[in-house]
Amino acid sequence: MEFGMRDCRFSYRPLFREHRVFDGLSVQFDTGRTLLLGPNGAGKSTMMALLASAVMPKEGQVYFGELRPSRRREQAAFRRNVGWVPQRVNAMPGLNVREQVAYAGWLKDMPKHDAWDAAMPAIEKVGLADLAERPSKALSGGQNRRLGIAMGLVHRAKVLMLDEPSAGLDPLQREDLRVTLAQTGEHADLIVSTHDTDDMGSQYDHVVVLAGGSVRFQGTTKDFMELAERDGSDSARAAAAYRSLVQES
Amino acid sequence: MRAKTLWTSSPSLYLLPILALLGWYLTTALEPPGFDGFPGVTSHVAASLPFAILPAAATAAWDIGRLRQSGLLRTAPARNRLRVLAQMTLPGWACGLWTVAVMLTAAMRMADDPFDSFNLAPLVVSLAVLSAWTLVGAAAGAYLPPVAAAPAAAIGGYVLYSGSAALTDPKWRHLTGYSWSECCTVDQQPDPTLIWASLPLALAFALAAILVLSDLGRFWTRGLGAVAAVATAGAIAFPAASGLGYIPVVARDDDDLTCETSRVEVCVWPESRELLPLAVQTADQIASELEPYEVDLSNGFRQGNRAVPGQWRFVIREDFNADLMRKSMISALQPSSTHCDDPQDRFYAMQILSTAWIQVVLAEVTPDEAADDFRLGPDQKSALEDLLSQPAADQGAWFDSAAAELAECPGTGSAEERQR
Repeated sequence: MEFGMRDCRFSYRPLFREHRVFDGLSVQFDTGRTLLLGPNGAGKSTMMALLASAVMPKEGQVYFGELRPSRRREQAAFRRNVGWVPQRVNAMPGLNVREQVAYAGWLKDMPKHDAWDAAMPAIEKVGLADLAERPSKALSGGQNRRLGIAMGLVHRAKVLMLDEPSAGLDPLQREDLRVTLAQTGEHADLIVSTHDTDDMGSQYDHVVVLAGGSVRFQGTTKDFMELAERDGSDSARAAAAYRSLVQES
Repeated sequence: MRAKTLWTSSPSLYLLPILALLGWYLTTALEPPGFDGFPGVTSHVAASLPFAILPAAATAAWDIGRLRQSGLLRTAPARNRLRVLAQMTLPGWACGLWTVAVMLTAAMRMADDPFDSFNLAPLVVSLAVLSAWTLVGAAAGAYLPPVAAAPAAAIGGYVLYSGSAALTDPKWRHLTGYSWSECCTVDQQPDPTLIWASLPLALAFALAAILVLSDLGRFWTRGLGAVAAVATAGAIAFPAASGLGYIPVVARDDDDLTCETSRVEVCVWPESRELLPLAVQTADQIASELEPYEVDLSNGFRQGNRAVPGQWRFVIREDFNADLMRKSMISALQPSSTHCDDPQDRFYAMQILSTAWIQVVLAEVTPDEAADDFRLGPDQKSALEDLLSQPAADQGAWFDSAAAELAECPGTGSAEERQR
């Protein structure tokens, strides 16, 4: 199913001063697992918010197959198919972990009993099964990230976008996250944003590099690695390739 | 969200027992209603309504506030935004409804005949006001942190509803719906115009809150829509409220009266029908005692809690015996001057003298006791003595002319308003 955006213009208006983020941006994501790379401020989070239809472009279209979130009648169907875990996931006071994950599923149009039943497998997948009954407010930063991922997984979206899921995680948690994402990618197309090439592992099929509001690279992971010298470790080559793309501007 | 999660995560569940106790106490601690019919019961509830608005608005603000705090609404939910918000507002609204239900039950227990003169208007307006403030609370929660939204919504609703009663100009209380709390004595009904004064604003606040909460169009267009809704409601309600008196009631339909005539006609409202024979018997006795004085009792006695110029209105309570009924009917024969424009106290002097005379003639009170009871000055006391020294028929004629003059004195309100 084709998923992406076409000729999108988007700007923020803090106190009447327009800050343009995208000016006619087009990108279409391939099926499989995609890593969205870009420096801080490149527009990765905004792109994901647009792709999730949490914000609407001033011009242009976001699409998932034939579905357009700008058409009100298609919005719910679009959102059922596209999941998004923003950078910051807050606990909802009064809910425990399972209730919050189930609520996220209900918000994505799942019947409440289905959402309740689907919550536990999603929680198990992110390794929070032991904390399912704990108030979500009581989770640590890393656990909170995993809660967010469980909330993204629960409704079994066809495309799942995770915005900087590894930020703030320790090395062990990062490793766990990699495993989780590898499993997730088996059921849904995955788009993961990061500014850190250390997050790049062999599990990604495609790479998109975003900088200065435009796409600098889009291709397979293999093509991306080809941009760097062949000598050195994979992570050093990824960093070199990324640097060459970002510094072009 | 599952119902169990919705309720256990909301503070409303824990407030229910407290609100039940508070609602019961507030309703029973207030003066008993003057009218036992349904308008009296609901009016009694309307007086305590701020205490239902307060938790409803605060809980809705808190619940929507925690949803806002979680950021879940910003993650592009597939469900309709208003449906999501309505679900989260439900516990707050139910909290208010619960409080109203407790207050209604308490008021009905206090009333002898709670379903008499059934009129749903006060209850409908009360529920509209409660719903409006719950939604306004929810709207506050959608834009403010819960710790700010909850007290702001609670205090805002409480102050606007009950604070309007503190203003001298009655139209503000008509607009907010507080005036329903002043309905009605046994011979009154709520003024239907009050619906047009109080319901539009409540509905407009509810609509404005829904617009603000929705995601239809841009924020400023929704804001303008909300302002337009309130302005339109104000344009409808303001003229209606301006035309209403301090206590917006109308006289109850006389066709509802049950009357019986022996020496004089006695009329009571259906809820007091059981005491009609005692009232007739007492009226006969009074009429026979006044026969030598030839006092005009052709208007008869009519049950009512307010003095109406030109009518002999007497109060009935369910515990009345022959003695209390007699006292009540003697009181009915004491003319009032409060409606008269009376800068020289001329009408007041006339009223005092008439009252003292009736007490001496019917209540076995001596002129000296009457002078003490009514604090008559030396001139008034000698006027009373002069009056009592005249032939009985002359005394009665003086009383009739004084009563007629007091009924028609120039003063406040039209003749129609005086009948309300």
